[in-house]
Amino acid sequence: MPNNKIQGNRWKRFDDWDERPLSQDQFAIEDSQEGFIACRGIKDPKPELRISSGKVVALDGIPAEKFDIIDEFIANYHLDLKVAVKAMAMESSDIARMLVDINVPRSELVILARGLTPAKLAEVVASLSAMELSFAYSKMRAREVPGNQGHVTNAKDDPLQLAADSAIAVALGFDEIETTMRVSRNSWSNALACCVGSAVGRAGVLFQCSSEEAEELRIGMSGFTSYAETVSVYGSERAFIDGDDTPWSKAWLTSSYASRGIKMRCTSGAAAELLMGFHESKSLLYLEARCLCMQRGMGAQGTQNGGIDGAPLASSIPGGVRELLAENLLAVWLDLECASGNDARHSESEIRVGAKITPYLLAGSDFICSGFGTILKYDNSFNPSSFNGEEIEDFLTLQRDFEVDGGLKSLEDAKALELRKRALDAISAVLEELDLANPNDTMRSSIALSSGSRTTDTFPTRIVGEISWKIENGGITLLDVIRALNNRGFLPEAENLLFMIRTKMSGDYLQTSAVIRNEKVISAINYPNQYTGPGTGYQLSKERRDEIIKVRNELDKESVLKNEAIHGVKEKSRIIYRVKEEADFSGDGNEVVLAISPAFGIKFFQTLAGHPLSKVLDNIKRGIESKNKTMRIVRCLHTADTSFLGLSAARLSGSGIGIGLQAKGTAVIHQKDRLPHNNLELFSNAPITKLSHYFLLGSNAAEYANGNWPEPILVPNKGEALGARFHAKVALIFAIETGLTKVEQKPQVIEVEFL
Amino acid sequence: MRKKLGVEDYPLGEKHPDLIVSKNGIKPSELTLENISLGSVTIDDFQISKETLKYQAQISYSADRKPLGDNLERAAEMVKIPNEVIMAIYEKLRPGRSKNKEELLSYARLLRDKYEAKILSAFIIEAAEVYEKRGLYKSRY
Repeated sequence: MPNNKIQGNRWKRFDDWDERPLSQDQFAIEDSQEGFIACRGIKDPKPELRISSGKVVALDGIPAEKFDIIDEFIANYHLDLKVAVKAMAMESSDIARMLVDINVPRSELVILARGLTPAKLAEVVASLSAMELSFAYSKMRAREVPGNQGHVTNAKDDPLQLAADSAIAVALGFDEIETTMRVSRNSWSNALACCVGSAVGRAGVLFQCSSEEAEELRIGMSGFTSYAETVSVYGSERAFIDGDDTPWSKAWLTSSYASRGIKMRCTSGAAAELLMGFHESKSLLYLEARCLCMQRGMGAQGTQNGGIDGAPLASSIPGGVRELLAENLLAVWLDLECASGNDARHSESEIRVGAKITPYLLAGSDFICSGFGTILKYDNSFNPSSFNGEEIEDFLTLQRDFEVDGGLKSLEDAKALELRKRALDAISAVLEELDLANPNDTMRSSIALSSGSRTTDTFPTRIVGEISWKIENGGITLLDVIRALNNRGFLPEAENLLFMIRTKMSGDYLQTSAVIRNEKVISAINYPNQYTGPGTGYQLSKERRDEIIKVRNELDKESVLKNEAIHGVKEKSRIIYRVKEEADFSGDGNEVVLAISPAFGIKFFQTLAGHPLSKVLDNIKRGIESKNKTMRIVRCLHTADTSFLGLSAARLSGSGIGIGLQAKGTAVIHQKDRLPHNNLELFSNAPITKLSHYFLLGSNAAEYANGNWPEPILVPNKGEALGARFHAKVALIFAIETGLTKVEQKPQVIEVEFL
Repeated sequence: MRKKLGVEDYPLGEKHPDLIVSKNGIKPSELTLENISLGSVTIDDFQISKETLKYQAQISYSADRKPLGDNLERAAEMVKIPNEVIMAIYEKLRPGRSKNKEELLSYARLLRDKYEAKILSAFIIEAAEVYEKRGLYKSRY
């Protein structure tokens, strides 16, 4: 029989779920025909390679005469026929095992990858679990030490803010910073501003200005930028052509950047073809395998992949996030530097974002993010990233939690402001010296202090366009900027920029996975990842670990006691504690004994909720008296534990009812014949226990003494993570309490006087 | 002819600063605030040289990265080609920009004859053939 008495047709938990950020995310049903398939699509070819007279005659099911531009390029430039026959003859499952075997060195696998076709590469990595992918990634990535890349943009294309924010990105430890514009004609202004800001604090931070290909190259030639990553590659011919390029045009660009000493990497990633409508019913992973084989063939030193703009779409597909890991693994297996996505935010759910970054943090990556938003979300001209200015400290904490190197370090208040001021003065000097603009103190002040562009008082956007026009058309180059800095006394910044020109002349950072640390180029050549099991590969140095474990607002015993001492002074004007005789059983049936902890009113003066202990005692006393009982206070010295405080009090109490009260505010009502941890009522959530609750606690204790069974007091909570909020302090407090205990000592009667 | 460089010679800037000169023959050590404040030099004077790129290519080969080495060899040939020409050829390599195979082949000849860029020339010839096969000479707008 259906139950018709329930009014309503929906469990309200679904309403709760509808309110969660996750409910904003869209999810797509798996549909291989429509291209919504992470791995093993219905049209993914079987791995195949046929070679005749030293030429590829069939590749993954396609005979040479039917090769499209991508097949053709892969056959000509990726496949190493010397290893291909042997490599293709191996079982995919055997190769998969080699990827996660610490006894098979990276170098052996890298050679193997050159002989594998896209379908074979995809088949191998598709068979690994997310855990195995992540482990294999940590073994296969090219450079030993991990790094990170950050976006520096703002909604006004404000050059002053760009300079200040670049200096902050440098201080946070980013190896590369990347800008782009809201208005494309502002590119030169953005480039100059970030370039100046990137020279504040240290030399060697690589910088790029993402703009139209030809312009990006010209900006690079003017010296402002040092790398590029806009060379996009697609996994189906028609998507490639709609992208207005071919593998040959992109390879041409790849060489062009190198010819000007500019580091470059390609861009590809899951779901780009799906977004462009030319997926050929093939899986995300297979199409990306094609992209990566092309990139290796083009001679790009690296890639940014892992679903870049396509990450949100890839993540809407079952297994999509695992696929992103798989394609990153393909990149490093193919010996490419990998800026591993974690760029465009794939979800509104912070849980999904945190979960997605974790394998990368654990495994390490050349660039954990190919675009960490160093600025606030609304200032990110690329779109919000997985992590943004708002969430930098969350990321730093994850580094600390796992003791892993995500490439970043924390920033002190005072240092941050100092760097912003320096960058603002430097960019102002350059703008003035080169007759580009005249920023004033009001602007500098508002930008130095503002978290984002919404609260800045700066140039109108029109002026930014003029600045940009003057830089471009005046033929202003990095040398002019250096001269301007030099003229105005910004010598460290001028020297830092000269260092970049000198390094560019050496071509050293054109090699795989190159970054600059401490003014030295480090790459997969001089610092290769040589992981072969526990204790090998990248290890945190002591210095680096010290940086990683440093976050703001850390507590220690001294800071807790110092804070308490301030409250101690105030308490002195409210209460006097007088130590009397050793406490005994009084036989007074009218009393409730309250046992306080060893440090109560001596080292600690307020509860975790911030209530002065004098007020707490006063409320309990009035509560007890409201039910016609009296309060006798004793201090226990033999224990600081709430239960034992309570039971000791009950045993001393003529009524058999006692209260245990710790300095931090945790309290218990106890009865003399009960076991220690089997109390009458426990008030365990001190941080949310109000004074009114202490009154009721007193009143209930008195009721028990009167032989009644009152309604227990419930302290309502809102689901706060009280452990996270308070336990570090609780443990420090409790250590001090227990440090004061003397097991042999009897409780003392304490007389209090409220002032 | 000096022996080919290898991974042990990297980073060039640290191990062999003496080998590095810019496109216009300037040494890194000559790049000082004092020298640039004289104002006679331009950013172009400090561009990477063909020789340096070829050294880096040798290092890439020695690190067993042939495609990267080949790319640096192509880049070495591009050093003396002006930006405008590089970008013009890039444009012609985009789908539908060259009217026919001959148009691309004319650039291959230009690269070979004017810029002594044999590798780049062969690269364009290869592209011209693939583009013909895949019908990429059809204008798209």
